[in-house]
Amino acid sequence: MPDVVDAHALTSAARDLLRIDSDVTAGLWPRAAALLARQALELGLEQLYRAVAPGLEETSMRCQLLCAGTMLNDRELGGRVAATWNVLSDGCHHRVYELPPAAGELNVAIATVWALAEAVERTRGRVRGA
Amino acid sequence: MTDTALFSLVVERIASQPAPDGAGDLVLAAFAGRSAVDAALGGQAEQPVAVTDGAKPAAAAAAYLTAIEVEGFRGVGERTTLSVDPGPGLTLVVGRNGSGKSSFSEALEMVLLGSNQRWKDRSKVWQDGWQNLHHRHSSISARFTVDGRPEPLVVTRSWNDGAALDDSALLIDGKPKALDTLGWTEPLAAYPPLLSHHELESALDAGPSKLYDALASILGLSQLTDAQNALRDARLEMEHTSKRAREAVVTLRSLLEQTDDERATTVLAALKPKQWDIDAIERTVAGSGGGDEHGVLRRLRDLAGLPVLERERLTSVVTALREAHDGVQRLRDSDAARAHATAELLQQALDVHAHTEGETCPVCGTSNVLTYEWRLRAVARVTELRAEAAQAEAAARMLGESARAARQLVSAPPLALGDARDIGVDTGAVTQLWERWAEVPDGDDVMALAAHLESQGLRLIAAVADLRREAAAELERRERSWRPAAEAILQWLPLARAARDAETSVARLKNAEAWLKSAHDELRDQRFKPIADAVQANWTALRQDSNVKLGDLRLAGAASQRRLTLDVTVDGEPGSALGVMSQGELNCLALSLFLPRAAMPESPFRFVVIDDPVQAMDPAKVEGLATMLARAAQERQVIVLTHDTRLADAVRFLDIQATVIEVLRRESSVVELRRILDPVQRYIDDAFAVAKTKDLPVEAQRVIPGFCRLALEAASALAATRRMLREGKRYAQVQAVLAQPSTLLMWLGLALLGDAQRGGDVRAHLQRQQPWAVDAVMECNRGAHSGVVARDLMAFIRAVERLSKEIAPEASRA
Repeated sequence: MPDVVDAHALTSAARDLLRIDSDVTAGLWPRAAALLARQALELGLEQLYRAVAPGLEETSMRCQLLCAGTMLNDRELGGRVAATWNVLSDGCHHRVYELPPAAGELNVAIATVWALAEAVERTRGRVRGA
Repeated sequence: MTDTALFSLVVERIASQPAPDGAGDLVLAAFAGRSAVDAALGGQAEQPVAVTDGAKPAAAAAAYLTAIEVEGFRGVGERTTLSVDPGPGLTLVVGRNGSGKSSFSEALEMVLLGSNQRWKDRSKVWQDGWQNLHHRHSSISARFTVDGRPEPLVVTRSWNDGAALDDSALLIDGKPKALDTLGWTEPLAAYPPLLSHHELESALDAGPSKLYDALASILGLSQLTDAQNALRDARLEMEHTSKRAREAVVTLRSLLEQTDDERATTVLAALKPKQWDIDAIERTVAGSGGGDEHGVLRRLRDLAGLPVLERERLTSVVTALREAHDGVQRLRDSDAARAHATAELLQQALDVHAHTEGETCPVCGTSNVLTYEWRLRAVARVTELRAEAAQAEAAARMLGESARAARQLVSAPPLALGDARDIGVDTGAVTQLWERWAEVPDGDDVMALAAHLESQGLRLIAAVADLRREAAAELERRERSWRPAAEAILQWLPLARAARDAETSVARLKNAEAWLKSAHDELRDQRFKPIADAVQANWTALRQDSNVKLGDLRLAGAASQRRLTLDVTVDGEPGSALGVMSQGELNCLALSLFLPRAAMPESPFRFVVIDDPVQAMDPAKVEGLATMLARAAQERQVIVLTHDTRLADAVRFLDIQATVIEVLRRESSVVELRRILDPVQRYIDDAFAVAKTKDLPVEAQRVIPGFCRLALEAASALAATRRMLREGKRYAQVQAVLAQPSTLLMWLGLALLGDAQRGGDVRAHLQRQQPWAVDAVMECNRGAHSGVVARDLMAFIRAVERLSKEIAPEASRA
């Protein structure tokens, strides 16, 4: 298992779980996709903070989510990332009464995670270039 | 619940509790229908009532559901099959809203009921959008195992591409057939095996009479109701007849009051009492009676036919009288008048001479006069004189006869003239003339007599003729005025007779109805009792800590008054269910009502499908619901579709035997159905599945710690719940505690240390109790985020599995 992964790859994997109808993933895909997407989201934030504000990646998730908008210089995306993390976390924990997230919900979450990965990529590019 | 059984119950009852006079026959006749009731009322010898029971098909055989197959219908694209175990038991179909789970219940409903009213009520959008967007071929099937059938029964509804919703073809075992051939049409209406959230929500709003119908139909008393209706219809028709007759009397009376005719008065008098004297009225109209001897009409008729002297007769009598008088006068003035006397004298002379010979006259003494010659002449003269005298005698006789005939013409004024009250004709003048006419002069003065007759007679004749015309005209006028009334009466009479007959019939019918009603109510209460008990038991299970207590549940009243009494007490205070219950409680109550109905032993449907009963239900109720469903599932196949896991959790936590099927929907309407044994094992299985599969992208393996963490959390939830319930905590309290943990350590704190807040102590606890599990737990937490697991994957998953089983040993039993 490669230790170095990138958020794009994880996001793609999550999307594939949704889209590819397979007997192997039947039934487990919603939570699996949620897990992968959340990992991609957290990885994206980690990479962002390593590049623009080292040390921030060690703080609590709540803190990291609150800072995302500012650090990305995109408050709207930051808000969506925070909301998405909460949605995905529900799917990653056992909740009484909660069924796994639905395909539609996951689709929206994955789109946000993908947008985050893109934004992180751009931000890191700028930092490297500066 | 065959009809003959019900009928013999009624016959027995009539024997033991006889109905009032004549009502028993009507009750029995009512079972054979309306025409039999009419016949019995008509007094016709009644055929023994034949109650058909052969006409009804034998009760359909018991059927369990084995599968619902859906293709291109609603939320389902590719053909997907929901398989369930045929036989009693509880199956939960769990899926989020939009996952496609309701497509299965809707498909079953569509297969069994077609596009019926309930579907038509739906919005146009729904109706147009019934066909799945991703899959244009539509076909839905339900499979059943049916007692006595070796092969499964398959009922299919399919559509040609682009067909409308209600344009489907029904196939039974692959052949086009009507659903009726299964004998399911009536049971579907009486014991609906499909209960949707929508129905549960609106059932109680429908009103007490609809609820009555919904429940009364299962009591099998429809024959009694039909019989009651037959009696009531007959009675209403009779009452209608009476009413029409009474209404007609009002019109008739005003017509009669305007009619200037004594018959009108007679009829009015006969109409006044409550009981009309129909016979008298009939006689009056027929003209054959009624009216007294001196009635106006009678008197008018007498006047119109008043005997009248004919002018010709009067003239001839008077002329004859005058001629007889003239004849007598004429003979008296001539010599012949004395002829008789002379003839007598001569005859006496001849007689004297015959005895004394001589020719001397004994009167004057002249001799030689009474000679033979004289004698010859005298004899001739006597003959001559006698002829003359006969003429005079005839004339006198004639005069006598003429005078007598003339006097005979005259009679006293007829009685008819005497009473002219109220007849509208004046008889005074005629009476006066007639009296004067009757004053015939006395004595032998025939000329005076003739003059009196002639003058008074002619005047009287003219006056009587006038009077007769007048009386006739008056009669005609009265007849004209009476005729419409008479016609109206003639028209009314049959109605009146029918109404008179109807009154006695109505009394009999009322008795029969009253008898049948009490029989019906008693049987109804008897038969409803077990259902009411089941509802009470259900409600007791469901209400939990609700302060609403269900009172006596009864079907009461009839016709428009029929209702289901749904009285409740709230903390001891009486109230109405609809007024005091929350929507969730109402849903519970509706389910309490309809589950016993669906579970009637007479129903061929051994399955009941309940779509989303837990909406608007609080957690405490869900526990009660689970208990109630579990109880129903002991004898029936209970399939519940639900949009969240509350029910599934309750079933698991309460250790209720159930099959849980999860519905998931991928993109493009691909619907997956998975049986879930228990969530712990399921997450472990998922983790193993991902670990073992080679053809997944490497990234996928990063989900394994996440699944492992889910398994541990689920095990913790199960263990904590079971422990708290054992400790006697209420289900609602347990649910509140289960909402607390948000991390794995909190879950483990709750499960292992009894407190979610003690997550921080978990590691130390594990170090002491299950040191081998410490690393696995920490890796679960770390790996769920980073996705990285350093050690051997399989060993990691096995450690998690072992720890799960130690936390929740119950889980593996499922």
